[in-house]
Amino acid sequence: MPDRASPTPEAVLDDLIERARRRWGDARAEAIRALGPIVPTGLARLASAELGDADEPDFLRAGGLP
Amino acid sequence: VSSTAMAPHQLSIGEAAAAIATGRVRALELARALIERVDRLEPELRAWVVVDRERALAEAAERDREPRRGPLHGVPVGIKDIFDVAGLPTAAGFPPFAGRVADADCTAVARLRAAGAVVLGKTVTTQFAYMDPPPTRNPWNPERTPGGSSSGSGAAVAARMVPGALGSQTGGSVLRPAAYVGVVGLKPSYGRVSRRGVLALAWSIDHPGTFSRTVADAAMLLQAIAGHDPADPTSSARPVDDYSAAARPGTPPRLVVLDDFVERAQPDAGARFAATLDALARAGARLAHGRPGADDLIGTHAVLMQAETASVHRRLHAELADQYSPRIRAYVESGALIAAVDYLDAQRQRRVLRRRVEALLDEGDCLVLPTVSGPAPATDTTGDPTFQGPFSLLGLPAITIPAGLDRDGLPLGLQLVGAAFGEATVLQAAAWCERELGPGSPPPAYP
Repeated sequence: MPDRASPTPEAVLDDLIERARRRWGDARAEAIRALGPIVPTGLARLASAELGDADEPDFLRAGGLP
Repeated sequence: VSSTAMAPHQLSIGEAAAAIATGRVRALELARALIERVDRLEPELRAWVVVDRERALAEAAERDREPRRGPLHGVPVGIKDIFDVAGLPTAAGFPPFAGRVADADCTAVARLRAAGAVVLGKTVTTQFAYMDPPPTRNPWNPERTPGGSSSGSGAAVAARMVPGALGSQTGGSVLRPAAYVGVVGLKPSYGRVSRRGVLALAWSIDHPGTFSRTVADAAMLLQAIAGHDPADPTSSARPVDDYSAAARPGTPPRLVVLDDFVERAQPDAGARFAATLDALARAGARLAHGRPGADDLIGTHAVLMQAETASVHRRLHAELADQYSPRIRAYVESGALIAAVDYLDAQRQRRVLRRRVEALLDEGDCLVLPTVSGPAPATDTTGDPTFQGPFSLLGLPAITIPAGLDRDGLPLGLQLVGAAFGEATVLQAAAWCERELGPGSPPPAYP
């Protein structure tokens, strides 16, 4: 059902590092790479997540807790 | 000098409060004893940013003179250095903030004082409560991290410098250090404790929490700080339960084991968790099993936290990037590259995951999993946040209690997670597990 592209974590990391080089320079991009794969992996999973009707009317709160 | 069977530094919060209430120990005597212990141990452990000696002793003497304020009357506490304490800097481990003196207590500290607590001082945080290694050492082994970001609060409570402390958790910054140093750590539901006067890291997942040596003490601290605060728009108006009444062993709990987290544990930690579950089942706990989607929970938390941190730090980083510690600096710079649609998708995914986890909570009183993937690692890291962060993401109450030692004699923890605002249920289940597993022990070098 999802028709969005599902990039691999490696592809997301490569894209992130390339944008980091342009924004912050080579040294900072390498510092960002050293943070590890957890955020790129999360971004890759989100890109293929089935979110259905899950809007978030109040995302200041954790999960919309009352 | 009053008499008691235990040395003052060995008293739990409940024991100290009872001893003061009955006149067996004076508040001033207790504060003096703990300050002397801090002075002796601090060169090794480096758990404190500042010990507010004169004010703490003056307040303790005042507690001895005045009528009882509340359940924490005369009990010394430590406060993580991202919480405002009037008259002290809130430095957050960031050198340019060293002179940033708070002119008022944050709500949580004001409520502790109203309950009678005496603020002993500020405890070490990693810079901005992120993951750069702190100077603090683990009382169980100086070659290991105490965890973070509430590093000083955990180490100080474990080493019997103070019976209770405040910390905060955005990823795993209460439960992870508590497990690594063998104490009880409690992260209440999002909105249960006011964040007013607490430095933000990622606002929709920042939670004040507590460190103590028993579940009953965690309930006493929570009772003091919980409740609506009109000054915090995310604070809940729900009534506060009687946590101290709840924090007693009741009927054996129904526990839902999160298998996909258990499978990610290091082998020794996983085997010891299995043995702990066996012991609880033999004592009557009923076990069910579930798989909430660990990869989704971990990934969504990571994206959401990094994007919010980048927003919180955008302006300060633009001015003072060179003053940041290496990891938080890179984290902010990387977060600035997360697209708005990805952040919003993370918020939507959080709602999906909440529903999934709530369905599992219909099967039992609490979810149960190892607090940490393994024992405390070396001091060049604060450890692995992936077993705690998911429950910060979901805003659910979580507690860790000591659950034995690994093969190298380092503490491990048992984590219980409840439904939103189900702190009373979590505390009752934790009290039952604590009774069956036995209380945590002091580090051998700091009895």
